[in-house]
Amino acid sequence: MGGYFLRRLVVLVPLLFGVTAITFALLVLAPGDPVVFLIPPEQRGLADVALMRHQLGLDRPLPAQYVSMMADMVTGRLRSFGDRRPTTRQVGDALPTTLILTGTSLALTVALALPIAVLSARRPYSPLDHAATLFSLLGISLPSFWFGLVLIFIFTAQLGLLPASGIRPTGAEGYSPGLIWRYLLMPTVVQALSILPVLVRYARSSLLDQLAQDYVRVARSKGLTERMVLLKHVARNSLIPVVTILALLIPFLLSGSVVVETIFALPGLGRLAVNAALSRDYPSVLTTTTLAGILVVLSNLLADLGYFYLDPRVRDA
Amino acid sequence: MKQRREEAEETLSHGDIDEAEETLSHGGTSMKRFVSVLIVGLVLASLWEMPAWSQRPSQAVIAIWGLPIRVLGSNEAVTGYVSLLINDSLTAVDGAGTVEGRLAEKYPASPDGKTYVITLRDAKFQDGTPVTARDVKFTYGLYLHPKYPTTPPALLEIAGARDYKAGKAVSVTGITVVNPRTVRFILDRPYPFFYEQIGGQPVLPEHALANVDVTRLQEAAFTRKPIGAGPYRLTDWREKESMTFDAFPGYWKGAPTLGRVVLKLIPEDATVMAELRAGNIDAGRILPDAYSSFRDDARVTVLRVPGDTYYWFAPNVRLPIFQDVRVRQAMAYAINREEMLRALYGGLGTPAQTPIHPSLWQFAKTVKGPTYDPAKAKQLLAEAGWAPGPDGMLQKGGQRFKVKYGFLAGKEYQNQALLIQQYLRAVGMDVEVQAFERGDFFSRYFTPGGPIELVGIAWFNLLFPVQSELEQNFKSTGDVAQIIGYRSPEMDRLLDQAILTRDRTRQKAVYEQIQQLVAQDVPRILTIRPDVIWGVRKTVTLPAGIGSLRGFFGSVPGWTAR
Repeated sequence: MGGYFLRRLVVLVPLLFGVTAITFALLVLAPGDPVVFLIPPEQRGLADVALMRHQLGLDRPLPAQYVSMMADMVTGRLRSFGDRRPTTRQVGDALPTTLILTGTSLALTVALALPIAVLSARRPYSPLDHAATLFSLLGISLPSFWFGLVLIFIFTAQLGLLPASGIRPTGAEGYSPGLIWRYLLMPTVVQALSILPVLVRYARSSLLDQLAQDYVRVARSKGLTERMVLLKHVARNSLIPVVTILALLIPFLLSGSVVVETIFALPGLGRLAVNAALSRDYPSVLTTTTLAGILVVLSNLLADLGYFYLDPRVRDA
Repeated sequence: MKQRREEAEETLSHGDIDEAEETLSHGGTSMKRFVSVLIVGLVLASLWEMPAWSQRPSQAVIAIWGLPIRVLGSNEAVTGYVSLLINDSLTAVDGAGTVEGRLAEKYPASPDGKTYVITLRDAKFQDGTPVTARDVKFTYGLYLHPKYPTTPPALLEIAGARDYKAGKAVSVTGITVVNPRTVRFILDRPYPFFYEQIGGQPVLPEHALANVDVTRLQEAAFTRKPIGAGPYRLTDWREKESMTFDAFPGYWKGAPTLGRVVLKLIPEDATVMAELRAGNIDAGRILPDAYSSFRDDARVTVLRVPGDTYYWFAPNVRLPIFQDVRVRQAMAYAINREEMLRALYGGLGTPAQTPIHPSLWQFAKTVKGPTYDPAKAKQLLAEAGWAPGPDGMLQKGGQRFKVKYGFLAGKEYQNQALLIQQYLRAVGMDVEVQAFERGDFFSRYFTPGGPIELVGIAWFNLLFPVQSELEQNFKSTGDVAQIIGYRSPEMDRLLDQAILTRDRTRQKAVYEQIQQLVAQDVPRILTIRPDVIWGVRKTVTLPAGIGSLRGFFGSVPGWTAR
């Protein structure tokens, strides 16, 4: 078991190498000189572009640039082209917001998806099930930016109940729940709604599959209450595919965070990554892509751990 | 009191989480309870946040679309606004472009206009050390350092500056420390813009920067924790989040009335406006669509001033098709600027008549650019030998009038490009539009020798003094003039004359001629200058006389907040 996870972690190294190499190649192939983004267009004629390129190391051959950037990244000395801060610091500032938001969104999704799925599966094709289907369709069709703005319009502009920007009050420090929860509420709902329908549909069909199994008939014939059958026996077995989907949804949430972070002015990883890409900030892009790679692999690992916990067959194998 | 409130808040949020867990374990049967707790939580939270809000010290939170990536060595608009708060300069120009002494108490020019002996006031940097003549000499030495990439070109007017910049001298001979409060500048030639262009640079403390390697200036701690001689200290800087400035009590003019300024980064305009309505911020940009509804909002003052940016498009004058001035004039007559403003900015703005910002004294009210007159456009084209072909599009000697209009990808530029395309087609020019991503646009397309036929863009005014702005855009040695291939001996002569003229009235006349020439010779077609619209909560009072966005940010020290 331990060996399995160790192997997975070791595979991460060449994987990340490939990710960064391809990212770097794409970056340098894309038209656009990073220095252009450091000089306002009105100022172009006044700046010493060659000197700036030299100071960023852009006048060296591409392989040399890549190797030195990677070496600097490993040792934590890589600095962003833009603000010249270490990229690890940039990421360190942005990561908590993104992780917290992803965590709360996942928690809310699971908290809502499982009850809805159970209610739907218990009486398939009942009005309640149809309502859930309709709700899922709506949820999956609502674009995040639109839904986010609607929430802001209602809860901030009209009712004045919730703040619409930032992660905490201006001047406050840290991420203590009491400080940030009001700021997280709307973004969490938006993020959760973007994946909730997927999870509900998967959980529902997985529950229906299980409900048709022989062991369910046995459990019922033993005289167990329907509640016990559902929650004790069926739910646990049907969670296995749900866990897989959940792990696959984490990268989806991360990429969706760009939109939510922009609308709600959250200082997160999504915006950092997109701004870095748009401004050809090679060091920042390489660092954020590497981190995204790590997060995706880790979420898959988490899914494996989930199987391990839920499925005795995997545990014993 | 505040402490207790926060604790209560925390307890409540834990309560919520417990509820949520309970919901999960009961299979959704207590959905209703969950929702009702959520709503009660929201209401409670809003109740105890409100008093806290009104108890704030004198502070203003200003929403901004971007924060600077650096506070030194960049002239980006936002960096300029931040610099206005942190730094001060020897001299400065006020909102109307008139010179005033800042760190300089006395700043007489010698009769030949080449020597300036500047007496400093009793001013302090934000770490308490006095601003001395040595600091001034050091600052200009830094800006002129061979490894400093964004040297303001006007500084090269200082005697010995070119040699120093080229690495041929160890110091700038034209700057002398006479005594701790007096510094002397000697220029190579009379230069009437000394106070605007040379005196207007932020003065930096030598003791904080003397040991910094200029090639690694941007990595120095100073660039994150700057020390200036301006009205505010930068006390907190959160990446992609906010910058907080606290009033500097030792400021030479006295501590600013507004105790604290927070620039809060909010990229989405709709969010800014919602926060402004809710009172979560004190000032923010308003989109034209929302202008009238904010004007009806009793809680908000709406400030509307001519925008700092104006839009234009330019033909590549190197192309034979555009060498005929009548063709360029025809394009200028073909554009319906009023309609563009109505369609895209709710009519809030003015047709751009000249490239100079209307708030400055150099702006000539009398100069009127071409107005919408398609008949005149067609007539000019006919005079230039272009006649409509069978499909209505212009032709001349078998050549079709077919050009590509490139623009920077983005909604505003695109909307304008589509309208301009329509207008030009209406007079028979077959225009195709093409968007370029920013990097592509500025590295490959909008460059000298780039494949430009027609190019559309917007320009910030007020980042530089007018003279260098005009030289860069219209003088044959200027960067933009070279990109679009514009060269006019008359324009070059006028721009040189502006430098040699020392009397304000005569200078004004020269600038008027320059603006007239831009309108007639049409090196670029000026389109519109949309207004800048800002909403400010009534809890904040702004001083009068704000004429631009830059002026708005410059006025911050004079704000009062309840």
